[in-house]
Amino acid sequence: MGTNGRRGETSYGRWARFALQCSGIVILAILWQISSIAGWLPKAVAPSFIQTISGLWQISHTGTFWVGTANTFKAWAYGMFVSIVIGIPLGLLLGSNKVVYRLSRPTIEAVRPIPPIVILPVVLVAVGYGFNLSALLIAQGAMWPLLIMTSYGVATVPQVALDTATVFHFSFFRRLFFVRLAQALPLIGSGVRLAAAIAFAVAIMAGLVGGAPGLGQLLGLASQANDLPALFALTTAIGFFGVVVISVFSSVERRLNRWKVSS
Amino acid sequence: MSAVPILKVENLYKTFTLPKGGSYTALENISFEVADGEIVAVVGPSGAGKTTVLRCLAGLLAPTSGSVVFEGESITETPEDVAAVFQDYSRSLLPWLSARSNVMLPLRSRGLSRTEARQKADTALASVGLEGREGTHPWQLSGGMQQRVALARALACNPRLLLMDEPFASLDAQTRMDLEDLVLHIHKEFATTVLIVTHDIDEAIYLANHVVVLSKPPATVSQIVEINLPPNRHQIATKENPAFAQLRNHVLTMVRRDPYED
Amino acid sequence: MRRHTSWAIRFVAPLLMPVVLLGGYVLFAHWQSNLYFPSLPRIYSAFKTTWSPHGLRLNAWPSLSNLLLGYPAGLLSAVLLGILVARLRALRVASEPIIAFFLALPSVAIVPIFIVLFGPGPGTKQLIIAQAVFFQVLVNVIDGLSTLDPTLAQSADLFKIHGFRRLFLVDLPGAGSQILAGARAGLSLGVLVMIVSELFNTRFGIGAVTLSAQSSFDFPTMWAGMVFTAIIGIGLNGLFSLAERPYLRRAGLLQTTTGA
Repeated sequence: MGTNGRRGETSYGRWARFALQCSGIVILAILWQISSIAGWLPKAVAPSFIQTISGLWQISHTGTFWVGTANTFKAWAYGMFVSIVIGIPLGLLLGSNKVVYRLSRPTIEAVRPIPPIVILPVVLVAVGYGFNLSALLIAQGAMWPLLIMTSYGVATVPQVALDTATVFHFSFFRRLFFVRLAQALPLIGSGVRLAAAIAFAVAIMAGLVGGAPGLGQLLGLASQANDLPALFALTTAIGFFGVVVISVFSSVERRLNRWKVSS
Repeated sequence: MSAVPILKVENLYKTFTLPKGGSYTALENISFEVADGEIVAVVGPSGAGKTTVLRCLAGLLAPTSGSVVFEGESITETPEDVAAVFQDYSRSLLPWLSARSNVMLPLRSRGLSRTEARQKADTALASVGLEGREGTHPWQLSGGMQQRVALARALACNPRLLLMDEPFASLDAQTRMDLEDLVLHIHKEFATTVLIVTHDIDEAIYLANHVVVLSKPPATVSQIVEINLPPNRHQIATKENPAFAQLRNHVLTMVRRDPYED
Repeated sequence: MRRHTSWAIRFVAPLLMPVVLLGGYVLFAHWQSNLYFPSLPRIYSAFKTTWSPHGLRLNAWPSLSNLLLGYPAGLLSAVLLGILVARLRALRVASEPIIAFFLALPSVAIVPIFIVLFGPGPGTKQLIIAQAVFFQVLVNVIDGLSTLDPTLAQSADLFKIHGFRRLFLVDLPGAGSQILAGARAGLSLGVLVMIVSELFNTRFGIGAVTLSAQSSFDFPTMWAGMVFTAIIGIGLNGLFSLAERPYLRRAGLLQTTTGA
C-alpha cells in the first residue's frame, strides 16, 4: 500500500486485492447458505450453496456432463477457427483500402445489431440438430467483432508508419504484414477475445434453443425435466467455463497490448 | 507589493513507492518562499519533478516530509484561496459544459447562487478576452482559447495564489506570447500571486520576479535567481534588454548542468 | 470528389448489405430450390400476413412490451448500483469476480432457471431481460466511473467539486461514452434474450411465432419472423443512435469517427 495517490486515497497492493476478491466470494457464499437455511430462500426456489456445490461435484462425475462439455468446446473451436480464417484476412483486406473501408463500415454496422438467433431457425431445419448447427451459428456470430476489429486496426495505422514503409520500398504484401498487421495486432487481440466470448455464448444457445449436442442441450433437457438442482449445477458450471474462456483470451489480449506501438 | 511570504515551502521531500517495489525520490529538501503579489517561476530539466512540487503546493499530493505553509497554515488539502491551471486544457475542462458553465462550476460548489456565479463567470471570461463566447463548448474553441477559459475558471474563484503547471506548453509560440501577456495583465489588475511551473526558460524570466531552479531528480533547489528586469515587461523590448540574455544564460547553464559534474 | 464519397457513404453503403443479402438469398434459394428457402414473393406475402396490424398486436406487442419494461429496469438498476459500487473501492474490488462470473455466463443460460422458477409468464420474461441488461450495463458503469480521466478528476478535486454536483456534472458525463456503449450492447442482448425466453411454453411473441412456424414446417412464416426479428434489432439500434446524439453532440464527440 502506498500513498502515491491523492491525499486520503491509498491503492491496494496485489495481496490486498486478492484477499478482497476472495472475501467477496466467501461472503456471498455464506449469505447464500444462511438464506437457504433460514428459509428466506425456500428450497423450491433455489438450492442452497452447499447443495449447488455438491450438485456440481455430482455431475462432474457423470459421463454425460463431460461429453457435453467436449461437444460444446468442439463446436466452439470449430466456429472460432472458421471465424478467424475468414474474419481476419477479410478484415485485413477491407482495412487496407481507404475507400473500401469507409464503405464497408456502415454496411457492417447496419447488419451487426441482428441477434445471432435470427438465422437459427433456418439453419436448424436445413442442417439439423447436429454439430454443424453450432459451428455455423458460432461462426456467424463470432466473425463480426473479429472482422470489425481487424479492419479497424488495419485502417487506423498511423500514416507515418505507412510512409516509412513506402520510402523503404516495401512491396504491398510486405507492407500489409509488417506494418499494418503488426500495428493492428492489439486490436485483433481484442477482437479475438470478443469473438471467443460470443462464440461460447452462441454455442450454449445453439444447444439450448436448437438442441445441438453440448452443455446447452443438457440445460434444455434439465429444464424440461424441471430439475432445479441440475439446472443450478449446470448453469454454474457453464459460468465457470465462460470465465475460463474469457480469462485465457483476456491474457492473450493483454500480452498483445503490451507490444502496442503507442502513437 | 509586500514582502510577506504568502507561501512557504520548507524541507519538502517526496518519495514514491514503485508498484514493483523499491522507491523513487522525486524531491529532496525543497525550500523556497513566495511573497504576496509576486510571480515566481519554477524551472528545471525535464522530469525534474516540477509538476510534483506543484501538486504538493496545490494539496493534491501529500509530501513525504516537510511542510507547505500557505497564509500561515500548513496545508492538508487544497486551500480555499488557491486555484490552478494545468497544461492539458482539453482534459481539464468539461467538454459537455459551455465555457460559462465550466467557469461557474467551482463557484456553485462554493455555494454561490446561480445568478451570482453567472455574473462572476461572465466577468472572468471577459477579463481573459472571451467576451461573447461564453456559450461555446471547449471543443469548439482553439487551444489558446480553451486555456483562457481554464484561466478564467481559476480567476473567478478570486484566488490569493494562482498555480500554473506548464500552461502554455501545448500551444504554439504566438499564442504563448499572447497568453504570457495575459498573465501579466491579470497579475497587475488583480494583484494575484502567481507560481508558474515551466520548461520554457524565456517564459520564466519574462514573467517572474524570482526563478526557482530545480536540479535533476532527486530534485533540490539549485538556486533562486532574482529577476531584476523593469516591471513593465514587453515581449520585444524586454527581450532586447541585455540583462535578459544574461539571466537567460545563467539559468540555462544551471538547468543544463549535470549536478554530479562539479 | 469528397462530396461524392461522403454521399456514397451515408446513403449507399448502409443499403449495400441488404442488397447483397437479398441478392445472395435469391441466388442461394434458386440453387438450393427446396422448401427451406421459399421464394422472395412468398416470404413477402407471409410477412404481410404475419405482421399485419392484427398480427403485430398479437405477436409483436407481447414481446416488445416485455422488452420495453425489462430494458429500462435493468438499465436503471445497473446505473444506480454501478454508482454505488464505483464509489466504494473495497466493494468494487470484492465484487469483481462475482460480476465477472455473471458477465461470462451467457445470458441465455439463465433463462431455464427463471422459467422453471417463475413460470413462463410475461413477468418472468421481463425479469430475464432486465437481468441480462443489468449485468452488461453494470460492468460498463463501474468501469467507466473507475477509469475517469485523471486530469479531469484532478481539476474537479482542486476546485472542490463534490457530491451530487460531482456525480451528475463530472463523473457520469465523463463515463458517458462507456455507459452508452454498455447500454447499446445491453439492448442487443435484451432483444436476443427476449426471443430466447419465448422458447418455453409461449404462444404469442415474435420468437414464439417464428419457432412454431418452423416446427410446423411453415417456412415462409418462419422467414417472415426471422426478417422481422432482424428488423427489430436494427431498428432499435438505430433509435438508440438517434437517442444518444444529443449527449455526443454536447460532449463534442460527434466530430470524431467512431471506433469499433
